[in-house]
Amino acid sequence: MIKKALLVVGLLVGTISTATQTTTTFKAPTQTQQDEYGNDYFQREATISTANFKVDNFWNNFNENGTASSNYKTISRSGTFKITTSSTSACTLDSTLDSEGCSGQKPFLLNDEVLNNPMPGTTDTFEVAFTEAPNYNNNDYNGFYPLDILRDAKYYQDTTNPDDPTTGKTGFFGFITRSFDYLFNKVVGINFFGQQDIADVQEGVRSTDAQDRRERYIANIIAGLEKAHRVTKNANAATATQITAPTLNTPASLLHYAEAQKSTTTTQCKFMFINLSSEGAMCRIMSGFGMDAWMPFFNLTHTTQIQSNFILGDTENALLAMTSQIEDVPYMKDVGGSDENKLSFLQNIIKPMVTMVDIMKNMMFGTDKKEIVSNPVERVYEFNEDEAMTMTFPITNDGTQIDDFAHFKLLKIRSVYGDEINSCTVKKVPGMISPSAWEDEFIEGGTLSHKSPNSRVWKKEVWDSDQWIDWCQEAANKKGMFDYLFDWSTGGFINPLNWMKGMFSAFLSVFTGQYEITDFKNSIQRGLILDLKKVDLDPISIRNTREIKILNINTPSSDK
Amino acid sequence: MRRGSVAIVPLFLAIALLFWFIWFLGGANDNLHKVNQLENLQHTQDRLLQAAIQKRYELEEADPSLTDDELDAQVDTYIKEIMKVNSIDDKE
Repeated sequence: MIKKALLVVGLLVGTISTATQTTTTFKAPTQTQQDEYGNDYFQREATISTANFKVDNFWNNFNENGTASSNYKTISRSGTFKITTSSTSACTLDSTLDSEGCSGQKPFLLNDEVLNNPMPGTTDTFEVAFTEAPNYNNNDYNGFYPLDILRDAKYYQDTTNPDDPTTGKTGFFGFITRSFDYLFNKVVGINFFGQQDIADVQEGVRSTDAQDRRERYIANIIAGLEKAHRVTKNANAATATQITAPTLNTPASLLHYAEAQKSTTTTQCKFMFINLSSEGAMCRIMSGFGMDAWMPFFNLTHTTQIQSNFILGDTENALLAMTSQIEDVPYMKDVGGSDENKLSFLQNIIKPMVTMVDIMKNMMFGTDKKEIVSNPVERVYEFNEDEAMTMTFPITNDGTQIDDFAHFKLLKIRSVYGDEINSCTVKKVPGMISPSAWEDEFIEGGTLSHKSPNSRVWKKEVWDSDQWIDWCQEAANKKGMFDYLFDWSTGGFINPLNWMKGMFSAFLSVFTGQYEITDFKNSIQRGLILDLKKVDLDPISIRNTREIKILNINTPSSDK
Repeated sequence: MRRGSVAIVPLFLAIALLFWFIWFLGGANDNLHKVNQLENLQHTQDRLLQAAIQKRYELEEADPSLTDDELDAQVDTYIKEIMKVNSIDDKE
């Protein structure tokens, strides 16, 4: 019995030890390093070894001296592989995208001081203020600059024919433009590319070059520089071939498209269903004498549209558009604006009554408060850390060469903006005893100028900036009687004298007319702050692209 | 016997040569036939090295919770299956 069992075990062991078996083993990966383009890489060794490999000799059947088979104990191969990971968040979104489009490098230079100043309480999260390259200062720890250097005139694929019809591959640039237009059309109903006027820094005019540069810039922010045109470590701006020839001390920068803003105010004059010319006599009489306020079905609207194409705005929109795609949440916001007053049929009928009530209300409580110079507004967009977009930034010490690269996850975009007034046109709405109307325009740093009918009496020759802004502000906000009653600025208590004065002035305005802003031009000041978390690139993240290359294969080993 | 039948001699010789060659193959050093199978295996292993690394990261991507050992085991099984399909590993 025992003998039998031993025999079985023996046979079993025998079969196992002689069965051909392949095993695969991996060594632990080496320390992560960075290649010259800032991609992370490490090496890993794999071995495949086959045990008990038998080679049968069929022909031995025909010769008494032949061996039936030979047995190799192990035959193994091992090889070292280089696994490179690049951050290509945007590119991995579209599987048809030509991989040559994406390197993950961003067209920004990050000041190395940034990395010495993590946010309080963290060691790897940084708050980086995005500024323009012309303000470069190497002592700044929050510098952040658009980079568009070190590549010959070739930037991206042909924009006129972005997709390859034969292979069906999407071009780098075609993808970017289409995804933008799709997003913007979907969310705010505008065409992102092509609708705004882009001014050229050098020529000061809109040019196709400037448009081109802008599109390239946006594409670069989100997708990263094209693989064939990546920048490398220690690449020196001064010695490189550049599309805009730099002077020797030009810091590695720059994107030459201007920050330009255009605001258009259009006046629309409408009676019933007829559009009247806003320059026509009918329209001017109606608006000049303030009759539009009383006249049913007469509608005078001022529409102001603001279009801006700031580098910061573009950066912000580009980042938001891409994160929207990644997280599938639309983060888009309107870049232009318009307001139009439309009255319903019923509102038109009771228009005179409403106007009367409005006047009474304004007399008592003042007009709705409008801030012509708005306080800075901050919008914060926070992103899920797991899903966050990864980006690779070149790091510089003095702005002339790339010393290093670093990878970050985009955790937060903070957009700060406020505006600055450049000019303001004030109209006097005639009151009951002063039927004359006039319009004055105030321009920053200049004197006031009369625009229309020049029966203006009030004169002030020199304007300092505060005065004219106050003047515009006052035209926008009329105080009511109760505002004077509780005027905390004059001591914080009820001041009967002030009230009397205020009542009189408010009452008077009904008779003498009020000032009203008809047009003002302002420029929007923007700030963009990114919260970035420094990371090592994860080779298995779908945000990154993994590339495996054989470094070497060791000479095969076999023993009999 | 016809004279012309002498012509069959070269044919016989040829057939004899063929048999001799088969006999020679059978007795030859196994270098001759291991070339095919051994080299084939080594080439297969070469190819599979890349596949193994690739597979390991693909598995990890599909399920990041897998431990290193589990990943190694899964890749090992994957390569084993390929070897079985290629009639190299014995079927258990």
